[in-house]
Order: sequence, then C-alpha cells, then structure tokens
Amino acid sequence: MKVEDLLKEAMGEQKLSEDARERIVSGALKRVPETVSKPEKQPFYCSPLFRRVSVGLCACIVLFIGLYYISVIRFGETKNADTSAAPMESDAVGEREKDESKSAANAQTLSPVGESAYSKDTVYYKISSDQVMILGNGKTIKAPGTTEYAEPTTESQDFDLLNVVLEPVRKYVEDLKEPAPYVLIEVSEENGVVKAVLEPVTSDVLNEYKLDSDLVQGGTYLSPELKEKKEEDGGTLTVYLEKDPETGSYRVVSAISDPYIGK
Amino acid sequence: MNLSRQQQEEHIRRIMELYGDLLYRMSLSVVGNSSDAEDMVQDTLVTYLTEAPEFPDEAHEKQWLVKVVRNNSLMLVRKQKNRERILSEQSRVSTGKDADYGILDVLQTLPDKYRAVLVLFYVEEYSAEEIAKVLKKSVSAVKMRLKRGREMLAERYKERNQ
Repeated sequence: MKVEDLLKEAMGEQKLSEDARERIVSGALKRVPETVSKPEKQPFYCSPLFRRVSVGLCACIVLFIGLYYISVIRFGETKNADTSAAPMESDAVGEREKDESKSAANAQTLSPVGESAYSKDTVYYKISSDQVMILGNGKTIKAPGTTEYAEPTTESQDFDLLNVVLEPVRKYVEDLKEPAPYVLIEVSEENGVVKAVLEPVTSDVLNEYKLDSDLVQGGTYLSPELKEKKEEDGGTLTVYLEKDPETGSYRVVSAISDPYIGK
Repeated sequence: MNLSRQQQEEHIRRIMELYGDLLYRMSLSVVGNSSDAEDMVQDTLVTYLTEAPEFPDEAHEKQWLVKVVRNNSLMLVRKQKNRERILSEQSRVSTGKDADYGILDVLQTLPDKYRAVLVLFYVEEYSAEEIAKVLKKSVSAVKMRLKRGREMLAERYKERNQ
C-alpha cells in the first residue's frame, strides 16, 4: 500500500466528535461578545503597513538629514585644513564666480540682531558686541555674519567709534593692491587719532578668534613661505585715522602695513 | 455588520458542518495533537466572527479558513519551546491502529511545508492549483513539495517499519 493511501486513510479517520464540535462552538461563542460588529474596511492610511512604511520613510529622512549635516561639518573641517595650507594663487576664475554668488546669498542671511552689515557687492562685514569684523575682498569671504565669535575683540574697543571708522578702514583695505581678508582686532583713540589694528586671516587667526574658516574661501592670501614668516613674526596692519574737521568723518592718514602682506 | 448571538451561532455551526473536519485535520497535521488542534479550530472560529471579511463565494471562505487555521497552528508550534514535548503528549494523534499511528507519526516528522501540501492534496483532495492559492506559492513549487514530501514520507515510514 502506498504511503499516500495510508496517509489518506489515517487522516481521513481523524474527525471531530460531536462532543468536540459542541465544545468548540460553545467555546468560540463564549469568547466573542454577544454582538459583534465586523470591522469596516479601513482606509489605506490606517493600515499597519502604511504606518510602518511612513515610520520607515520618516526615519530615513531624519537619517539622511543627520548624515547630510554630519557630512557638511566634516567636509567643512577638511576644507579648513586644506585651505589653510593652500596658496591663493590657485584661485580659479570659476571658483571666484561661485564664491561671489555664495557671498551674495550669505549676505542676505545675516542675522538682523546686533549687527551692522554692509554690502558693496564684494565686501561683507559684521559688527556687534563680542564680535570681530572681517574686511577684505568679498569674493573670498563667506557669510561672516553667520559666525559666532566667542572671543571678545579687546576690552577697550569702542563700538561707537568702530562704527564711524569702519567705512574708511574698509575702503582702505579694498584699495590695497591685493586685499586680503582681515580681522579687525582692535580700535582705540588717542589724542584724536584713531588706531585700527587689523590682522590678515590665517589659520592661527581663525583659531584664535574661533572663526569659521568658511568665512575665507581659499584661506589666506599669503603664500606658504610668507605665511610661515608671518606666523613667526605676528605681523599686523595698523591704520591711523583722523577726523576731518570739515566733514566730521574719519579718513585714513597713515598705515603701517604688515611686511608680509604688501601694499 | 452586526451579528446577534443567534446569527453568530448559525454562522459557526455552518462553518463547523462544512469545514470542521478539514480545519481540524489541517491543524492536526501542524500541531500534532488533538487537543491543540481543537483549540486552533476554535481560535479560527473566533477570528472568523471578529475579523472575517465578506466573501464573494464559499470557495474564498474555505480558502480563508484554511489559511487562518494553518497560521494559528504554525504560531502555536513556534511558541512551543520544545517541539518534542508536543509529540510526547498523551493526547498524541492515534487511531488505535499501529499502522495508522505510524504514518501520522512519521508525518509529524516532516517539515511543515511538506505536511501541509500532503494533507491538502491526499486527504482533502485539493488540486495543486488550489493549494498554490492557499499557500501563496507557485503551482510548480507545490508539485515539487508534493513530490519531495511523498518521497520523504515513504522513506521515513519504511525506515520506521523495518
């Protein structure tokens, strides 16, 4: 006899007795409420599958955003390291155009609180308490206003004074043959002469003032050799301004330039 | 749709009349003992009363019931920590005949996927196409399982009775 026939015969004899049937029916009836309303068909968005898919999608989006920001931060750090070491000669025309558009976009994102932002196509800077100023060629500067500076500039800094000398200092920096991104680190007045001390942006300056290196696209203008000397000597650009008695505004009367930057 | 107690009873008595033995045997082939198989049939009836959708015809209803009883039985088996315990229970499948006891005992040693197709095909006389619908497998996969299950059953039965 084949096994399948044996199986059919043996299984065929497996039947529920009447007692068992009654037991099953009465048990089932006891387990359900007296009036059962069969669930109506739920819309698709109520289904567990839809919930699982939605949760999964949300998790993916959050993960993606998280990874994106992490990669932006990491990429930014890497770029800082690269830019601080790279000479500015490698600044290509295409890169500069790109920077211009970025600068313009960033200028619009400056926070309106506690800031004095000025834009003349190429130069952006920001002044508020506990913050330094960035001057220089705007093509090489990105979003100074969005950087948080933890270090105060100098205790003696007079912000009212700084505001009035800001424009002439900025113009003076712009008129330099090869304007570098500068950090205005000190403003003081003595006998009617205002002294503004600026420091070209280097990796050390960025670190000291806790500046975001993205401020300075392409890093310093200094060549690696000059940069090394500058870091040894700590050269600065000091601009002296006097008040014009006729107009009442300040003008640059002299400047002591950092020998490694040139004028 | 609201069902009164009387309607509920009518429904499940009809189900038991039409498919009671089928559901019991399907469950028995998975769980391996009559008391658990009866419980699984009861669970299926409860599921039917609380969740069953509207069926276009009896064939769909039967198919749904077979799926539910099989799934319930598989879940029960998975919950058991030690499957051997099930096999050794006193309420083990037995008809009182040594040979019959032997074939069902051997059937319990087969993997679930072979047991289901063997019972549906040889006992319940489902076609391969119908089994494929119930198990959501292709017809060729069902035929392959039938072939292997049959061979395995014969081989093990032979070994046992040598």
